Amino acid sequence: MTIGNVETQKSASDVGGESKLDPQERLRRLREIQLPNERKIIKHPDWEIAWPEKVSSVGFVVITLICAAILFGTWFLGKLMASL
Amino acid sequence: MILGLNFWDMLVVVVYLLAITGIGMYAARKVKTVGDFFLGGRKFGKLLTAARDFGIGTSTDEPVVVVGQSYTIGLAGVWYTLINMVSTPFFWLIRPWFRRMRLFTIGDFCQMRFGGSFGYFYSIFGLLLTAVTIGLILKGTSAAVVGVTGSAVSPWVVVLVMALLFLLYGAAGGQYASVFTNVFNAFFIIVLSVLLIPFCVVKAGGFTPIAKAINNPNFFNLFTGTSGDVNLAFIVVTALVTLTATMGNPNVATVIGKTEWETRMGITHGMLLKRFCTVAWAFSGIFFLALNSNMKVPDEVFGTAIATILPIGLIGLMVAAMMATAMSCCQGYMVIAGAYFLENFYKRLLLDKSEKHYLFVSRVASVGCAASGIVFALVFPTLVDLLKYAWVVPSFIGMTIWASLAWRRVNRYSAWATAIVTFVTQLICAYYFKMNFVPMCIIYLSVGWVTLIVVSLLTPREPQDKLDEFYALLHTPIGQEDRLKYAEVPILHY
Repeated sequence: MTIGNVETQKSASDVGGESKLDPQERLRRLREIQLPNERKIIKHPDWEIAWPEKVSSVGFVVITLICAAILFGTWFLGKLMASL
Repeated sequence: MILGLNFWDMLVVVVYLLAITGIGMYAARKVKTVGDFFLGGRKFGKLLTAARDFGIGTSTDEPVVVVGQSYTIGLAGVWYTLINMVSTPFFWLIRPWFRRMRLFTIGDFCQMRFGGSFGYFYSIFGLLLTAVTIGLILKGTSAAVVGVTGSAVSPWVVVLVMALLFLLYGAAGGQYASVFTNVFNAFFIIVLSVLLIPFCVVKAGGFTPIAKAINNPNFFNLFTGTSGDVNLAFIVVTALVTLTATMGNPNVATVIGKTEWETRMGITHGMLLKRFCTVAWAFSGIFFLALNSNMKVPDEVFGTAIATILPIGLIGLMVAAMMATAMSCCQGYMVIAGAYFLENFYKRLLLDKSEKHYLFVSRVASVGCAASGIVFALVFPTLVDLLKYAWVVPSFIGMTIWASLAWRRVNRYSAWATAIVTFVTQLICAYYFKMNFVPMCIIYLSVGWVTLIVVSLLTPREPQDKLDEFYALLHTPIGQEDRLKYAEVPILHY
């Protein structure tokens, strides 16, 4: 299976095998791929909350509205039945 | 009559169950690796992911509880399941996070974030909770089917027939069987949810006679009902518990979508569809009350309504749909339980075995866990008590998982302390002070959060490189695995 341009086959290093990199170099590379500070909501090394992508925030709002509509619809149907 | 069902109804049941089993067995042809067995190779698009999440998230015990409670306390009975709606928008956010973690279970998550001992603890907890869930589903379904047959069949016969079939195709087809059978079942779950309504309305002579027969406007009040059990405080607090517990649920990390997009579309569509069905269950219970107000046991209302309202043929279809829905759901949980056992215990004890060996162990472990669920089906007294129990338990750990996604200071000590302190607080509140559900939840959630923060601040951090690996996974989108390979971040399953 391929996701993007990456073949999804496991290699030895994929499943927790020992790293072949020098520990300092590995730490440097790990730091390099961390979430950049400017993308964080709280700009502090202990916090890892990223600003949500547009698709996440818009989707969240839309789904919340749909849930609210389901609740309102249920409440309305109840009211309607009570009024009969 | 055969076991309390008309010949044609029985025929429908047999054909339907055989069809479901056949689909499940067909799916077995696609299973070649452990990844295929547990996650279907994560090859599924939006539709299949939604069908699977709808199927595994909707079990027969839920209409049994909601129909029974709505029959007893009115429209507010819908909250026994609709309360989970508060989590639906959050699924849109959190499922992609778990997809990016590229793991099998929350046990792997705990192992990765907090190290061995807490990972093992959660895995044992996950196995137990999965077994309880299977028990809950089997018990609810057997109660409903027994109701339909007028007690002509023993609940244990129903449990054993379901167990035999889902163990058979579940052990063979794993996650593929779960997905394929749920696509077929999704249609029947919807039928099961709405079918009673038109027949009740026609039999009662319209909506007005129903309202007049009930003759209690409070019965249609969504927020209070006629019982003191469900009120606004109950709804708000239970919503908080549910939202916290969502993260501690054993199945939350077992995502099968190809990328984040398929994952989030699947879960939210599946869950929204379930919310519509939930509303239909509540109205089915209320409408049935207008036709028969003599039922004393809420769990039997759904089955009796089917037996007395529906015509021949449709009764069989409902029984078949109930059983197949439960089977698909149990089979999904059984696969998840197998993943907990294999990934968090077996592979750590016996490394370097062949894929074929691990696949065989996955199948045996899945069957073993499902079998323990069948034992659970006998133990707990009522369905509602079980549901309350199931809501509460994952929240002991859910707090830690929520916090660990955002805050590096959360560590193994605070994870342990929060789980233990919350559990003990809950026990003291429930059994020593005999508190009601609402104050008990407020107290143990507050104590849990305070413990989490204080212990996290006072104890040593997790190793820097482990934290970096964890957050690198969390923040790296699917398709950008080259970044992870560059820093040699271990990946469990793409």
